[in-house]
Amino acid sequence: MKTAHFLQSAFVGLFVLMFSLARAETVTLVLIDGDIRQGWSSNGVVAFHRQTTDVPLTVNFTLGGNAITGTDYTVANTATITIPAGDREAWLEFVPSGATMSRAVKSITVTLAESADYELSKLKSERRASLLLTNPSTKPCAKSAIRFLNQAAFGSHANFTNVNEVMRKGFEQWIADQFKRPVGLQQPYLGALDKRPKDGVSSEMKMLSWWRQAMSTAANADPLRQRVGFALSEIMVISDHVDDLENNPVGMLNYYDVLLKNAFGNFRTLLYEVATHPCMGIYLNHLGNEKGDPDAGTFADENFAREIMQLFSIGLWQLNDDGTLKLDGSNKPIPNYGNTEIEGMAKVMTGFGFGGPKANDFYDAPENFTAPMRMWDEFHDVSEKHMLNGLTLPARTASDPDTGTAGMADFNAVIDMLFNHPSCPPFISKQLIQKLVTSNPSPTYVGRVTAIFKNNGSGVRGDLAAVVRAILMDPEARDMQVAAQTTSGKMKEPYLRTVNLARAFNARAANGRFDLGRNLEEVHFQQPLSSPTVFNFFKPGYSPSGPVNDAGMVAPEFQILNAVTATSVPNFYYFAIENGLNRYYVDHEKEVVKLHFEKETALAHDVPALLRRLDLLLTGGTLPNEQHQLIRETVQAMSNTNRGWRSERVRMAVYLISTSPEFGILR
Amino acid sequence: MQNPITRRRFLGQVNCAAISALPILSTLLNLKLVGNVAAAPTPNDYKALVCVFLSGGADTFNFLVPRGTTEYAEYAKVRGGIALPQANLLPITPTGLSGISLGLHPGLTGVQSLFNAGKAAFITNVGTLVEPVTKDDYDNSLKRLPRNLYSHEDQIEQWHTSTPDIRSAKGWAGRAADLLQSTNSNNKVSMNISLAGSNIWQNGENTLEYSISTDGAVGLDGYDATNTDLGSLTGLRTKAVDSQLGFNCQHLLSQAFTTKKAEAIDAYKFFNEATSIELPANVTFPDTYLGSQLRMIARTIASHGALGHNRQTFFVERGGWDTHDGVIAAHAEMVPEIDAAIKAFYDCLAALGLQDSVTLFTASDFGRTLTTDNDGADHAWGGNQFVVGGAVNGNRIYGNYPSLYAGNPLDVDRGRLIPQIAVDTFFAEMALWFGVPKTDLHLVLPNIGNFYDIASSSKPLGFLP
Repeated sequence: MKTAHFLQSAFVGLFVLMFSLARAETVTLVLIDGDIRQGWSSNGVVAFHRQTTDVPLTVNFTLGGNAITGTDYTVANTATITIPAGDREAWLEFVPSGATMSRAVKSITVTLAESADYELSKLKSERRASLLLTNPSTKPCAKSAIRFLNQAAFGSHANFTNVNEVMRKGFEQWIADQFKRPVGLQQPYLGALDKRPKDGVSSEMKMLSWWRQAMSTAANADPLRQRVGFALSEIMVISDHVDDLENNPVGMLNYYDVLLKNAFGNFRTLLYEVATHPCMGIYLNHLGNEKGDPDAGTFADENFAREIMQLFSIGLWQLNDDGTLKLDGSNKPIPNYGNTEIEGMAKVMTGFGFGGPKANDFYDAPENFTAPMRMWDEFHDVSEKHMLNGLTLPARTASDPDTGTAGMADFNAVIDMLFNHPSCPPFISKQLIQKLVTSNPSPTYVGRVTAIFKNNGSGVRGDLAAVVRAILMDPEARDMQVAAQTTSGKMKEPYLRTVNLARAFNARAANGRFDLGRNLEEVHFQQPLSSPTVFNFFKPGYSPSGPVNDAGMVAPEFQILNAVTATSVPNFYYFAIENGLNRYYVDHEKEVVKLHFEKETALAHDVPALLRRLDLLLTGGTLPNEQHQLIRETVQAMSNTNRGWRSERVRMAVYLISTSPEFGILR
Repeated sequence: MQNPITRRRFLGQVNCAAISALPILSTLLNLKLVGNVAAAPTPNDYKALVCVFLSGGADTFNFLVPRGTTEYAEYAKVRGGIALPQANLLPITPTGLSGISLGLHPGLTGVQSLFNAGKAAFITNVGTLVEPVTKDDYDNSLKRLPRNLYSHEDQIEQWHTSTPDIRSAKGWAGRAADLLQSTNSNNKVSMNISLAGSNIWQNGENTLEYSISTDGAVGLDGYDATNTDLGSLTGLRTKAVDSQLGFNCQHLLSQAFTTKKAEAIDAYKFFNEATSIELPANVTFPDTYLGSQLRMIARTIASHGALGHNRQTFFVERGGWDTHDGVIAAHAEMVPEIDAAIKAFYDCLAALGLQDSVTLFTASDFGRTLTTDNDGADHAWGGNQFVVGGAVNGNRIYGNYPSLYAGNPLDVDRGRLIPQIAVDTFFAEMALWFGVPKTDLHLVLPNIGNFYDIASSSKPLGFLP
């Protein structure tokens, strides 16, 4: 033995010896997840924990309870488990067999057994753990319900009422109920504020109403409609980054209500109402758009003409029903239209002025931001127009007196043409899937939803309720085998992730309002109705460089995850967990929208129980074992005597889970 | 499965384990590239490119405007209600310009003074092209045209990529950085720095933009890599966050999510320490968004040595140029704003003695139609851009200022002008100055051969040495 090596070994040996002489180390048993559902791919887990890491340690235990090993569940070890050198923990996983058991609920108990190599924890709760195994059911378990609510709504809630509702009704019935709920309109709330004598409403007050709906736990709340409406607001974009809209929050919420009202209606009506809304008219310039005058050298504006095709209905390229690009003979994608068709469409989109009862003049009608625009034949280009898909609009005669009939005949014809265009169903279906469920739906998934868009089963095209149902109930959305793949799911949109957090901890202010204003936009690079451009905060085809791009995948939401937001969002959580969601100083304490941790604080002394609750609430029970260990060890290392130690422990745990990828990514 | 790991162990693993799952991949890749040229002498010829992107499609035929009686009449006729008054135009007397007199938008006083001093130049009628095109080619589809002309999204992308024939998520500054980043002594933060978030221009095969805010890099609150006191909340949290970032995520989106955060934390500390300097006190930047952006860029440029950067690119954006309506009023507000910010930027560089090392250029989605739809104009094609810098051979107009009358030989319709200078040519001039070898120019600008012969002894345009 060489001297240096010898000395080193002796040194280590001495350490081990000293330690063993002092006392044997203590082993504890920790319940990570004791809620096992047959047929749901989530295992029960216990951890065998120790303090040192020098040498491997074999721990003895016994299994009990009335669940039968090998029949009701499988487990890798039944009597001993070894914690490897270098580790403080070994995890034992109980894998449900999927079989229907002889009783509805069975138990598994794990009990630590003695050994000469270690001492047992003195606490009974650290020597013994109980897990429950329940029978398969047509109704979802809590974890499954929470995952669903992250797709179909703004997430679970501290009081679990919506989770319980989904568990009770099942997905199908829950969706069917949502279709029947009254529309949670946005504008009336702001309209009511507007009547107050103070300063009227300002642009940022839109968010008062938006948050009120997103946070609702009312018995007749309509979270699915709110979620789909938000998705539509990211497809048919208007934004308050245009002064005329910034100054008309009531009109913008009226537009948002058009999206909400039509979220379970027909796509043709949605497209029609979007295209005739004055806020869209302002945003994309077809309000007040006059027919061109060749002599004066003026032309119809093309902005809306372009975007209604490119973004709101059919897209640039011809699509197959499964959402893939149609290719020509030389394998090139085929454009849906060229400049001639844009010019034709621009001519159709002439003649709209402000609408409403007092709209008696194209130029000088009162600025009514809540009534559909009115068509004026006098300012509409009634000449023959060549459109796409073989459509030619005949030259028409302007009505007299001017009822806009000729212009609306053109307009309705192109809305019909876009609605019936073969690219429309896959173009809209795929984007809705990407917004709700997964960034990378398989072509067959898109194809199944497209088929429903084309025909809801009763011969109706464009039935959005049927489309939404098809998206959420598709095997690719529900199957946990799919979710387990490394390519599954999507990043939660940063703004919605914050809503998730707010709901999980029952965020509210003493005055009942969500005075969050614009302060959240710069943190998230996102805020409803505040997109920087008509192309939304992120584009459906965005693919970040690295493993995602290398795998040929897209991840649209990553377009707003950069070196700024990768830290600004965690920093906001750090702040919000302690102080509330208002980023800046507010005038009155009653305005502070605080997160409420009463239930968590009550568990601060029992860290494993605290983490089990947070894991379920925030990630649907998907936190990996090493995250559990890390957060548990971190929180357990904190004081349990300091003033405020309970709150400090809870804040640390919430911060570490809410900034983890399991909370950030929806699988 | 492994237990939580410390920062030290995490960094230790990077060197020996499969690196694909670990957060600091790009840094490693950069180190590898640097390693390849480590023996080469450290070059010391610092250069930076600054792209000021005027998003929305700036109406740049109201930036650079005919001023002589005949040509002004032509301009006034086609532009109608959106023509600037002749008397308000700022006079310029470009070297070598004959047969036409030009002026600038009245808000461009700073650019005018830089132009007169030979530190600024205009590139006229520049735009996206796949290959040179005539009106006949256009009308009869005889040549390849850029995909989706007149569409914001596509044209912005094409100004970033310089490949208007194909869709791509890689830009020419990214490709240039792929070639040139080895000349930096380190790449702890990317040499491509954005104040406008993710963008295509700075994205290459091995290069990603580094996003900062107008206050610099954004760090993680409650986290302090130097705090190892596990009795403190910050120490505990720091250790926990480091462990979280070290977990090996198999799921690709989780992996990308973790990577972004880890990169941000690593780069933050380095960047802010390196750029914690004061700028010369005698230059004041205007208190505008672009002013704050350019101020932060000046600080970063002044700190290029501490950052280990011998080459840098910067991307900033100022939106609001999609003037379908109200162009006169919008320009009256926005043109002086960008002018003042750019002038302050140049003055600051001059005070730092770095004005010859930095070239700033403007870019935009497209020009706008010369004809008007009342008080605005529609999406079009060719436009005018300007360049500013000590190295610029200024007081010149590059390219032939086009005729503006309706139906002129370059007017495809409504005063949409076929560009006579391709963006490739414009960019090639800057890429060569920046250090891209002529023989590698096609790697950065794949279509350059359609516009410029690299065997030629002359520059693509001649505005840079």
